[in-house]
Amino acid sequence: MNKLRKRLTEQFNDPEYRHIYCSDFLDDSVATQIRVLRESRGLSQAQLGALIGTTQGGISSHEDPDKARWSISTLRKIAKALDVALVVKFESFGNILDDIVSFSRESLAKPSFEDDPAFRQTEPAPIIAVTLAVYPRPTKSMVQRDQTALGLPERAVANAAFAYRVFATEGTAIWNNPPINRQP
Amino acid sequence: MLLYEYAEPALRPEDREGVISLWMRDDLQKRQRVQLQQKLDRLAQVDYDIARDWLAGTDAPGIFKLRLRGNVQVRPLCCYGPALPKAEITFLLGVTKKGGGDVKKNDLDRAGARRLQIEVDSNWRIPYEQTKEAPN
Repeated sequence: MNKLRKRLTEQFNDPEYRHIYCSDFLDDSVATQIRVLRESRGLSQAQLGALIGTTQGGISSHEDPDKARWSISTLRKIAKALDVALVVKFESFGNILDDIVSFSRESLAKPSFEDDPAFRQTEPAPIIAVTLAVYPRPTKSMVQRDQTALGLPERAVANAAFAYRVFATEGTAIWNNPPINRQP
Repeated sequence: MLLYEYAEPALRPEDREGVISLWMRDDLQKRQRVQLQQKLDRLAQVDYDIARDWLAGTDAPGIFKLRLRGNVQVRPLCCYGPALPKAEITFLLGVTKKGGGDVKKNDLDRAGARRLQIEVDSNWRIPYEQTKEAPN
């Protein structure tokens, strides 16, 4: 068991201890997350401030766990500006331990809707999918040549089924005109 | 960040206790102790870019204070490094002050002297053991 989790599992048996600890953890995690999200969007404090109708100093305060006094209303504005959802909920101490133990810049960084993989289509299969169907061991130049011959953009083949369809139609033309470097 | 604390030498290495661990155990009230423990836990999880915003400078060059909420202000004094300035923080002295005002010059001088000491000889510090002192 992680050392921190083990220690807190013991210390959280004290009601006063766990409430003080989690109250300060909330301050630290919200302040730090605002900063991490702002930086990941390439926004300065002044720019984020302009988006939510406050000053650079206002954002600086929101990012300072020692000074911050957030309201749900302010957090909503910040969430909208950073294009993330705001979740306010009561949580069991057992679950909050997971957040405490995993606290890091990486765990706080959340994608905007634009970059959220849940809302993006399947990553397009590379053109290599088509070429592999024709040539068992294609070279890079062969892939580039087929890509050009098929008139496909670099990552145009959306999925395996589409790749098969492209091969079954356009690929035939290449098959009928074998390239010089075609492998046996 | 890797956290260390200044520690007086002892006859037996296992008897050595760091100044912050002693301060937390002997001088801080429960709320202050838990708040500081929480902050130290977070400090140990973040990188330099975040940690530097949680430390405020003082009138003494190279000496920083870690800020916590509260009426009685708990201000552990520390320095970066000294071995790896962007990866280590060494706590040098615990300061508790009531009301406003800066950290007293005497405290800053003491922290500064300890900083010089650990720069010359890193044996004057020990890793801050988060599991060593866990009083409720």
